[in-house]
Amino acid sequence: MAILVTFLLPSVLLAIGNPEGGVFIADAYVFRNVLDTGDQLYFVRYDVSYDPVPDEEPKDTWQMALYTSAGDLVATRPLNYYQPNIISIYLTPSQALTWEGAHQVKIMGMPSVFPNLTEGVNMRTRTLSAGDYKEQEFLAGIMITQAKILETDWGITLLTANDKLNSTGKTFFLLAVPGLGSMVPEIFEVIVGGVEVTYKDYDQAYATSLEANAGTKLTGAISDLSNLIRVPSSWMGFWLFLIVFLIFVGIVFAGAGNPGWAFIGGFSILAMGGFLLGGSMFSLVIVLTAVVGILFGLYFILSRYA
Amino acid sequence: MDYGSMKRIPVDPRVIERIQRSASMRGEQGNQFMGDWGGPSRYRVLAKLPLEERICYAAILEGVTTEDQVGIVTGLSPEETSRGLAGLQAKGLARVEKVPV
Repeated sequence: MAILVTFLLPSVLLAIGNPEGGVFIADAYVFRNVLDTGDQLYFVRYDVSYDPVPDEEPKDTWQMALYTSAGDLVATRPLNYYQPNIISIYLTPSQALTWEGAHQVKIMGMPSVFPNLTEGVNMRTRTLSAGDYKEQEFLAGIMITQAKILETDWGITLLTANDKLNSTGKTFFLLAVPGLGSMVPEIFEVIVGGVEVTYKDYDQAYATSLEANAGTKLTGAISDLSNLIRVPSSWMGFWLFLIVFLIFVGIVFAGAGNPGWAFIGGFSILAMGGFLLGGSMFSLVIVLTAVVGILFGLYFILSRYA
Repeated sequence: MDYGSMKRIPVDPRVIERIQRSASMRGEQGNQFMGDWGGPSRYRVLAKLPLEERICYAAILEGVTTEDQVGIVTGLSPEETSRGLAGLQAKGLARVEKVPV
Protein backbone atom coordinates (compact mmCIF):
# COMPACT_ATOMS: atom_id res chain seq x y z
CA MET A 1 0.00 0.00 0.00
CA ALA A 2 2.86 2.33 0.79
CA ILE A 3 4.35 1.76 -2.63
CA LEU A 4 1.01 2.46 -4.27
CA VAL A 5 0.68 5.79 -2.46
CA THR A 6 4.16 6.77 -3.57
CA PHE A 7 3.29 6.20 -7.19
CA LEU A 8 0.07 8.17 -6.89
CA LEU A 9 1.90 11.28 -5.80
CA PRO A 10 2.46 13.89 -8.50
CA SER A 11 5.75 13.43 -10.26
CA VAL A 12 6.67 17.14 -10.12
CA LEU A 13 6.36 19.11 -6.93
CA LEU A 14 7.10 22.84 -6.92
CA ALA A 15 8.83 23.67 -3.69
CA ILE A 16 8.47 27.42 -3.87
CA GLY A 17 8.19 29.37 -0.65
CA ASN A 18 6.39 32.56 0.21
CA PRO A 19 7.94 35.79 -1.07
CA GLU A 20 10.35 37.08 1.56
CA GLY A 21 9.51 40.71 0.87
CA GLY A 22 5.75 40.11 0.68
CA VAL A 23 3.30 40.62 -2.14
CA PHE A 24 1.80 43.98 -3.06
CA ILE A 25 -0.63 45.54 -5.48
CA ALA A 26 0.74 48.98 -6.24
CA ASP A 27 -1.90 50.08 -8.74
CA ALA A 28 -5.14 48.65 -10.09
CA TYR A 29 -7.22 50.12 -12.91
CA VAL A 30 -10.22 49.07 -14.92
CA PHE A 31 -10.71 50.45 -18.43
CA ARG A 32 -13.71 49.93 -20.66
CA ASN A 33 -14.43 50.15 -24.39
CA VAL A 34 -10.77 49.43 -25.12
CA LEU A 35 -11.25 47.09 -28.08
CA ASP A 36 -14.99 46.77 -28.30
CA THR A 37 -17.94 48.62 -26.88
CA GLY A 38 -18.65 47.30 -23.41
CA ASP A 39 -15.45 45.30 -22.87
CA GLN A 40 -13.24 45.73 -19.79
CA LEU A 41 -9.52 45.58 -19.06
CA TYR A 42 -8.40 44.91 -15.48
CA PHE A 43 -4.82 46.12 -15.09
CA VAL A 44 -2.58 45.59 -12.07
CA ARG A 45 0.95 46.64 -11.20
CA TYR A 46 2.19 44.28 -8.55
CA ASP A 47 5.28 43.25 -6.65
CA VAL A 48 5.87 39.62 -5.77
CA SER A 49 8.96 40.36 -3.76
CA TYR A 50 11.13 37.27 -3.72
CA ASP A 51 14.58 37.47 -2.26
CA PRO A 52 16.27 35.74 -3.99
CA VAL A 53 14.22 35.10 -7.11
CA PRO A 54 13.18 31.44 -7.18
CA ASP A 55 13.95 29.03 -9.99
CA GLU A 56 10.32 28.09 -10.53
CA GLU A 57 8.61 29.83 -13.41
CA PRO A 58 6.08 32.45 -12.24
CA LYS A 59 3.56 31.18 -14.78
CA ASP A 60 3.51 27.92 -12.86
CA THR A 61 3.25 29.38 -9.38
CA TRP A 62 1.54 32.79 -9.28
CA GLN A 63 -1.52 34.31 -10.86
CA MET A 64 -3.79 37.31 -11.06
CA ALA A 65 -7.38 36.52 -10.16
CA LEU A 66 -10.56 38.52 -10.64
CA TYR A 67 -13.53 38.06 -8.33
CA THR A 68 -16.94 39.72 -8.44
CA SER A 69 -18.15 41.81 -5.55
CA ALA A 70 -20.13 38.74 -4.50
CA GLY A 71 -16.91 36.74 -4.24
CA ASP A 72 -17.35 34.63 -7.38
CA LEU A 73 -14.19 33.85 -9.34
CA VAL A 74 -14.39 35.34 -12.84
CA ALA A 75 -10.98 34.74 -14.40
CA THR A 76 -7.35 34.03 -13.60
CA ARG A 77 -4.16 34.65 -15.52
CA PRO A 78 -0.63 33.45 -14.67
CA LEU A 79 2.02 36.06 -13.92
CA ASN A 80 4.86 36.57 -16.38
CA TYR A 81 7.48 37.67 -13.88
CA TYR A 82 8.24 37.99 -10.19
CA GLN A 83 9.29 41.27 -8.58
CA PRO A 84 7.66 44.57 -9.65
CA ASN A 85 5.74 44.00 -12.86
CA ILE A 86 2.36 44.32 -14.55
CA ILE A 87 -0.43 41.99 -15.61
CA SER A 88 -4.00 42.29 -16.84
CA ILE A 89 -7.22 40.40 -17.51
CA TYR A 90 -9.44 41.27 -20.47
CA LEU A 91 -13.17 40.65 -20.41
CA THR A 92 -15.29 40.69 -23.55
CA PRO A 93 -18.55 42.69 -23.52
CA SER A 94 -20.49 39.54 -22.71
CA GLN A 95 -18.15 38.73 -19.80
CA ALA A 96 -17.94 42.30 -18.46
CA LEU A 97 -18.81 42.95 -14.80
CA THR A 98 -20.84 45.76 -13.31
CA TRP A 99 -19.06 49.05 -13.97
CA GLU A 100 -17.69 50.67 -10.79
CA GLY A 101 -18.59 47.60 -8.76
CA ALA A 102 -16.62 46.61 -5.67
CA HIS A 103 -14.98 43.72 -7.47
CA GLN A 104 -11.70 42.30 -6.28
CA VAL A 105 -8.39 41.72 -8.01
CA LYS A 106 -5.90 39.43 -6.34
CA ILE A 107 -2.25 38.64 -6.87
CA MET A 108 -1.92 35.22 -5.34
CA GLY A 109 -0.02 32.01 -5.37
CA MET A 110 -1.66 29.25 -7.31
CA PRO A 111 -3.73 27.05 -4.98
CA SER A 112 -2.11 23.97 -6.56
CA VAL A 113 1.29 25.18 -5.36
CA PHE A 114 0.39 27.07 -2.19
CA PRO A 115 -1.94 24.94 -0.07
CA ASN A 116 -2.50 27.78 2.39
CA LEU A 117 -3.15 31.22 0.97
CA THR A 118 -2.84 34.01 3.51
CA GLU A 119 -3.56 37.63 2.84
CA GLY A 120 -0.35 39.66 2.89
CA VAL A 121 1.86 36.58 2.86
CA ASN A 122 1.23 34.87 -0.44
CA MET A 123 -1.86 36.74 -1.55
CA ARG A 124 -2.83 40.38 -1.87
CA THR A 125 -6.34 41.62 -2.51
CA ARG A 126 -7.44 45.00 -3.83
CA THR A 127 -11.14 45.83 -3.70
CA LEU A 128 -11.84 48.14 -6.59
CA SER A 129 -13.46 51.49 -5.94
CA ALA A 130 -15.07 53.98 -8.30
CA GLY A 131 -11.80 55.88 -8.68
CA ASP A 132 -10.09 52.83 -10.16
CA TYR A 133 -12.48 52.76 -13.10
CA LYS A 134 -11.32 54.76 -16.11
CA GLU A 135 -12.63 55.39 -19.56
CA GLN A 136 -10.65 54.26 -22.59
CA GLU A 137 -9.13 57.69 -23.23
CA PHE A 138 -7.11 57.41 -20.00
CA LEU A 139 -5.49 54.13 -21.00
CA ALA A 140 -2.61 55.62 -23.01
CA GLY A 141 -1.57 58.13 -20.37
CA ILE A 142 -1.79 55.63 -17.52
CA MET A 143 0.28 53.07 -19.43
CA ILE A 144 3.01 55.65 -19.97
CA THR A 145 2.91 56.58 -16.29
CA GLN A 146 3.20 52.92 -15.36
CA ALA A 147 6.14 52.54 -17.71
CA LYS A 148 7.90 55.47 -16.01
CA ILE A 149 7.40 53.86 -12.61
CA LEU A 150 8.75 50.54 -13.87
CA GLU A 151 11.71 52.31 -15.45
CA THR A 152 12.65 53.60 -12.03
CA ASP A 153 11.96 50.27 -10.34
CA TRP A 154 13.96 48.24 -12.81
CA GLY A 155 16.66 50.65 -13.89
CA ILE A 156 15.79 49.77 -17.47
CA THR A 157 14.85 52.15 -20.26
CA LEU A 158 11.29 51.51 -21.40
CA LEU A 159 10.37 54.86 -22.98
CA THR A 160 11.80 56.97 -25.75
CA ALA A 161 12.52 60.66 -25.36
CA ASN A 162 9.02 61.32 -26.70
CA ASP A 163 7.38 59.12 -24.04
CA LYS A 164 6.63 56.26 -26.38
CA LEU A 165 7.25 52.64 -25.46
CA ASN A 166 10.52 51.50 -27.02
CA SER A 167 10.98 47.90 -28.12
CA THR A 168 11.89 46.85 -24.56
CA GLY A 169 8.82 48.52 -23.11
CA LYS A 170 6.66 47.22 -25.91
CA THR A 171 7.77 43.66 -25.21
CA PHE A 172 6.86 43.74 -21.54
CA PHE A 173 3.66 45.74 -21.91
CA LEU A 174 2.34 43.54 -24.71
CA LEU A 175 3.16 40.50 -22.61
CA ALA A 176 1.17 41.95 -19.73
CA VAL A 177 -1.64 43.42 -21.84
CA PRO A 178 -2.15 41.42 -25.03
CA GLY A 179 -3.80 43.58 -27.66
CA LEU A 180 -2.47 46.84 -26.18
CA GLY A 181 -1.12 47.69 -29.62
CA SER A 182 -4.66 47.75 -30.97
CA MET A 183 -6.07 49.51 -27.91
CA VAL A 184 -3.63 52.45 -27.85
CA PRO A 185 -1.30 52.23 -30.84
CA GLU A 186 -0.16 55.82 -30.29
CA ILE A 187 1.95 54.91 -27.22
CA PHE A 188 4.26 52.66 -29.22
CA GLU A 189 7.43 53.92 -30.84
CA VAL A 190 6.75 52.01 -34.01
CA ILE A 191 3.20 51.44 -35.14
CA VAL A 192 2.67 48.53 -37.46
CA GLY A 193 -0.70 48.23 -39.12
CA GLY A 194 -2.28 46.73 -42.16
CA VAL A 195 -2.29 48.71 -45.37
CA GLU A 196 -5.72 49.99 -46.20
CA VAL A 197 -6.65 48.76 -49.66
CA THR A 198 -9.18 50.59 -51.81
CA TYR A 199 -10.59 48.44 -54.53
CA LYS A 200 -11.61 50.16 -57.73
CA ASP A 201 -14.18 48.81 -60.13
CA TYR A 202 -13.14 49.41 -63.72
CA ASP A 203 -16.11 49.66 -66.02
CA GLN A 204 -16.24 48.54 -69.61
CA ALA A 205 -17.60 51.85 -70.84
CA TYR A 206 -14.92 52.49 -73.44
CA ALA A 207 -14.84 48.93 -74.78
CA THR A 208 -18.64 48.98 -74.97
CA SER A 209 -18.73 52.35 -76.72
CA LEU A 210 -16.50 50.93 -79.47
CA GLU A 211 -19.17 48.41 -80.39
CA ALA A 212 -21.11 51.18 -82.09
CA ASN A 213 -18.29 51.66 -84.61
CA ALA A 214 -19.19 48.45 -86.40
CA GLY A 215 -22.25 50.07 -87.95
CA THR A 216 -25.58 48.47 -88.67
CA LYS A 217 -24.52 46.42 -91.69
CA LEU A 218 -21.53 44.70 -90.11
CA THR A 219 -23.39 44.22 -86.85
CA GLY A 220 -26.34 42.72 -88.73
CA ALA A 221 -24.09 40.38 -90.69
CA ILE A 222 -22.35 39.13 -87.56
CA SER A 223 -25.69 38.76 -85.82
CA ASP A 224 -27.14 36.71 -88.67
CA LEU A 225 -24.12 34.43 -88.76
CA SER A 226 -24.25 33.94 -84.98
CA ASN A 227 -27.94 33.04 -85.20
CA LEU A 228 -27.11 30.57 -87.94
CA ILE A 229 -24.70 28.54 -85.85
CA ARG A 230 -26.20 29.50 -82.47
CA VAL A 231 -23.30 31.25 -80.78
CA PRO A 232 -23.27 34.68 -79.14
CA SER A 233 -22.69 37.47 -81.62
CA SER A 234 -19.68 38.72 -79.66
CA TRP A 235 -18.01 35.33 -80.11
CA MET A 236 -18.94 35.33 -83.77
CA GLY A 237 -17.31 38.70 -84.35
CA PHE A 238 -14.25 37.63 -82.40
CA TRP A 239 -13.72 34.51 -84.46
CA LEU A 240 -14.47 36.25 -87.74
CA PHE A 241 -11.76 38.81 -87.18
CA LEU A 242 -9.38 36.11 -86.00
CA ILE A 243 -9.95 34.21 -89.24
CA VAL A 244 -9.41 37.39 -91.27
CA PHE A 245 -6.26 37.99 -89.22
CA LEU A 246 -4.90 34.50 -90.04
CA ILE A 247 -5.70 34.90 -93.73
CA PHE A 248 -3.96 38.26 -93.85
CA VAL A 249 -0.94 36.86 -92.00
CA GLY A 250 -0.80 34.01 -94.52
CA ILE A 251 -0.90 36.42 -97.47
CA VAL A 252 1.84 38.64 -96.10
CA PHE A 253 3.97 35.62 -95.19
CA ALA A 254 3.58 34.21 -98.70
CA GLY A 255 4.81 37.48 -100.16
CA ALA A 256 7.47 38.55 -97.70
CA GLY A 257 8.61 35.13 -96.44
CA ASN A 258 9.11 36.55 -92.96
CA PRO A 259 6.75 35.55 -90.11
CA GLY A 260 7.67 38.67 -88.13
CA TRP A 261 6.43 41.03 -90.85
CA ALA A 262 3.40 38.79 -91.34
CA PHE A 263 2.35 39.17 -87.70
CA ILE A 264 3.05 42.87 -87.68
CA GLY A 265 0.85 43.27 -90.74
CA GLY A 266 -1.84 41.06 -89.26
CA PHE A 267 -1.88 43.08 -86.12
CA SER A 268 -3.55 45.93 -87.99
CA ILE A 269 -6.48 43.57 -88.64
CA LEU A 270 -6.78 42.87 -84.94
CA ALA A 271 -6.56 46.58 -84.14
CA MET A 272 -9.32 47.24 -86.63
CA GLY A 273 -11.40 44.47 -85.05
CA GLY A 274 -10.90 46.00 -81.63
CA PHE A 275 -11.97 49.38 -82.92
CA LEU A 276 -15.06 48.04 -84.70
CA LEU A 277 -16.25 45.41 -82.26
CA GLY A 278 -14.97 46.65 -78.89
CA GLY A 279 -15.66 44.23 -76.03
CA SER A 280 -13.49 41.12 -75.86
CA MET A 281 -11.83 41.90 -79.17
CA PHE A 282 -10.62 45.18 -77.78
CA SER A 283 -9.34 43.37 -74.64
CA LEU A 284 -7.44 40.92 -76.85
CA VAL A 285 -5.79 43.75 -78.73
CA ILE A 286 -4.73 45.45 -75.52
CA VAL A 287 -3.28 42.20 -74.11
CA LEU A 288 -1.48 41.41 -77.36
CA THR A 289 -0.08 44.94 -77.47
CA ALA A 290 1.31 44.49 -73.97
CA VAL A 291 2.80 41.08 -74.82
CA VAL A 292 4.33 42.36 -78.03
CA GLY A 293 5.70 45.37 -76.21
CA ILE A 294 7.39 43.15 -73.61
CA LEU A 295 8.81 40.79 -76.24
CA PHE A 296 10.05 43.74 -78.28
CA GLY A 297 11.77 45.12 -75.21
CA LEU A 298 13.34 41.78 -74.32
CA TYR A 299 14.53 40.60 -77.70
CA PHE A 300 15.12 43.79 -79.62
CA ILE A 301 16.10 46.54 -77.21
CA LEU A 302 17.89 44.41 -74.62
CA SER A 303 19.71 42.27 -77.18
CA ARG A 304 21.10 45.35 -78.87
CA TYR A 305 21.83 47.70 -76.02
CA ALA A 306 22.06 45.65 -72.80
CA MET B 1 16.28 47.83 8.87
CA ASP B 2 15.99 49.92 5.74
CA TYR B 3 18.58 49.25 3.09
CA GLY B 4 17.10 51.73 0.69
CA SER B 5 17.54 51.00 -2.98
CA MET B 6 20.23 48.43 -2.22
CA LYS B 7 17.87 46.10 -0.47
CA ARG B 8 17.33 43.80 -3.40
CA ILE B 9 17.56 43.53 -7.15
CA PRO B 10 14.16 44.69 -8.37
CA VAL B 11 13.98 42.93 -11.71
CA ASP B 12 13.29 39.30 -12.35
CA PRO B 13 16.42 37.85 -14.07
CA ARG B 14 14.18 36.66 -16.88
CA VAL B 15 13.66 40.30 -17.87
CA ILE B 16 17.38 40.87 -18.13
CA GLU B 17 17.85 37.69 -20.13
CA ARG B 18 15.11 38.68 -22.48
CA ILE B 19 16.81 42.02 -23.12
CA GLN B 20 20.13 40.26 -23.59
CA ARG B 21 18.68 38.00 -26.29
CA SER B 22 17.27 40.90 -28.29
CA ALA B 23 19.78 43.06 -30.12
CA SER B 24 17.35 45.99 -30.43
CA MET B 25 16.37 45.88 -26.76
CA ARG B 26 20.00 45.62 -25.72
CA GLY B 27 20.82 48.56 -27.93
CA GLU B 28 18.13 50.67 -26.28
CA GLN B 29 19.60 50.11 -22.85
CA GLY B 30 22.98 51.44 -23.91
CA ASN B 31 26.41 49.89 -23.95
CA GLN B 32 26.92 50.23 -20.23
CA PHE B 33 23.67 48.55 -19.32
CA MET B 34 24.77 44.95 -19.35
CA GLY B 35 28.02 45.95 -17.73
CA ASP B 36 26.10 47.51 -14.86
CA TRP B 37 24.17 44.34 -14.37
CA GLY B 38 27.19 42.15 -14.86
CA GLY B 39 25.52 40.37 -17.75
CA PRO B 40 22.57 38.01 -17.50
CA SER B 41 24.55 35.11 -16.10
CA ARG B 42 26.09 37.30 -13.39
CA TYR B 43 22.69 38.79 -12.68
CA ARG B 44 21.21 35.36 -12.14
CA VAL B 45 24.00 34.59 -9.72
CA LEU B 46 23.33 37.85 -7.89
CA ALA B 47 19.62 37.12 -7.66
CA LYS B 48 20.42 33.92 -5.81
CA LEU B 49 22.84 35.49 -3.33
CA PRO B 50 21.97 35.78 0.33
CA LEU B 51 20.68 39.23 1.16
CA GLU B 52 23.76 40.50 2.99
CA GLU B 53 26.06 39.41 0.17
CA ARG B 54 23.87 41.09 -2.39
CA ILE B 55 23.79 44.32 -0.42
CA CYS B 56 27.56 44.29 -0.16
CA TYR B 57 27.84 43.65 -3.89
CA ALA B 58 25.52 46.56 -4.62
CA ALA B 59 27.65 48.79 -2.40
CA ILE B 60 30.80 47.74 -4.26
CA LEU B 61 29.09 48.53 -7.56
CA GLU B 62 28.34 51.97 -6.15
CA GLY B 63 32.05 52.53 -5.66
CA VAL B 64 32.52 51.75 -1.97
CA THR B 65 36.02 50.43 -1.34
CA THR B 66 36.36 49.71 2.37
CA GLU B 67 34.54 47.42 4.74
CA ASP B 68 33.62 50.29 7.04
CA GLN B 69 32.08 52.23 4.17
CA VAL B 70 30.09 49.17 3.14
CA GLY B 71 28.67 49.01 6.64
CA ILE B 72 27.83 52.72 6.63
CA VAL B 73 26.12 52.94 3.24
CA THR B 74 24.19 49.70 3.62
CA GLY B 75 23.23 49.79 7.27
CA LEU B 76 24.53 46.27 7.75
CA SER B 77 26.09 45.38 11.07
CA PRO B 78 29.88 44.74 11.11
CA GLU B 79 29.24 41.02 11.40
CA GLU B 80 26.82 41.02 8.47
CA THR B 81 29.24 43.08 6.42
CA SER B 82 32.09 40.69 7.12
CA ARG B 83 29.95 37.69 6.29
CA GLY B 84 28.68 39.36 3.13
CA LEU B 85 32.13 40.28 1.86
CA ALA B 86 33.52 36.86 2.79
CA GLY B 87 30.69 35.21 0.89
CA LEU B 88 31.34 37.37 -2.17
CA GLN B 89 35.03 36.56 -2.05
CA ALA B 90 34.33 32.86 -1.73
CA LYS B 91 32.18 33.02 -4.85
CA GLY B 92 34.77 35.02 -6.73
CA LEU B 93 32.51 38.05 -7.03
CA ALA B 94 34.71 40.43 -5.03
CA ARG B 95 38.30 40.69 -3.98
CA VAL B 96 38.84 41.54 -0.34
CA GLU B 97 42.34 42.45 0.80
CA LYS B 98 43.62 43.44 4.18
CA VAL B 99 45.90 46.43 3.74
CA PRO B 100 48.31 47.68 6.43
CA VAL B 101 47.11 50.85 8.10
